[in-house]
Amino acid sequence: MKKEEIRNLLIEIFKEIAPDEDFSGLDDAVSIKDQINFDSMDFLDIIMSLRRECAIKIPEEDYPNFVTVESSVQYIESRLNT
Amino acid sequence: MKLDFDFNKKLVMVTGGTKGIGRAVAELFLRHGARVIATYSKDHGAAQKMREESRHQDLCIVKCDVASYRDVEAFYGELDTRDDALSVLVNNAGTRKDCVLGMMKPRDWQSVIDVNLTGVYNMSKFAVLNMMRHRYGRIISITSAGRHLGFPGQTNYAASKAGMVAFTKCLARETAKRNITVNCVSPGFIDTGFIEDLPADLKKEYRKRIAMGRFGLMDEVAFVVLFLASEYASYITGSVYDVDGGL
Repeated sequence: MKKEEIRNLLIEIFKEIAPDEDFSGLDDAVSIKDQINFDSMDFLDIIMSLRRECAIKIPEEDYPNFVTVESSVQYIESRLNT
Repeated sequence: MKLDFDFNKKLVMVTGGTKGIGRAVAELFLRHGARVIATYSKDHGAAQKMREESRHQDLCIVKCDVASYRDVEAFYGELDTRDDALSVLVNNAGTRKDCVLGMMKPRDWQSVIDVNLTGVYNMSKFAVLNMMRHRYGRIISITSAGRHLGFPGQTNYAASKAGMVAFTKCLARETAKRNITVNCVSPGFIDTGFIEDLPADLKKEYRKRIAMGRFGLMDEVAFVVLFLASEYASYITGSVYDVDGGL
């Protein structure tokens, strides 16, 4: 899976969780929480969806990697390559 | 509309599922088409007895100490490896170490809290993660009428069971939008090994307190669990169902 595909998947998951939000202006380098009104359960939902869609395990201690879109994509890419 | 309680090979987990109410619940689910994992922690005899008597192809009996986070994590890890969707979790595993507070050993306080309350945390945490991935779930915890009746000698037990209700109400709020319901069933005096050790005069006194004048049957509890686990209970969450014959 290429970086762009992972990013697209992430945005699809965001849309599924918050269908009314507009993600077109999302800055990949800025904290997701500072841009979108996701709560803790939404955040967990995103991680569980990524686990399911990418068929990877995401240990709890790795959750802090999901701060920005950039860091999330980078983390997923590294997990897919291990 | 005719109700159909066929669980159609859905995966149901019952902790403490090899004896007493847990076994009645596990067997009722098996009779309604579910695949059932019944866990136990120490009583190999009861597990073996159930294995021999049931012989159901959809029953899997597994040793798992619900009080151990590591045990539970490893247990769910296996489910995740198979990508098996857990549809129903019944938190039934429980223990009692009755003693008046002034004489209660720290280990008797702690072990009851560990199994009855921390066990619910351990099992439910990983169940929620599994259920969130599969967008469906039912969590049912077996609390007790003892949580609010206040029997002497049961400070540890009552505290753990009351905690279970508070836990349920909070978790129900967290998961409601994810199609996961969380409820409690609260049995009163049920005819199980759990109350066998009570003195005869105390049993008689307890019977007098029950409006129906008798102890409940294990199946009478299991029926309510089955209903709450079914798709018909889709609008029920954060609730406690008393099954106590009118206490």
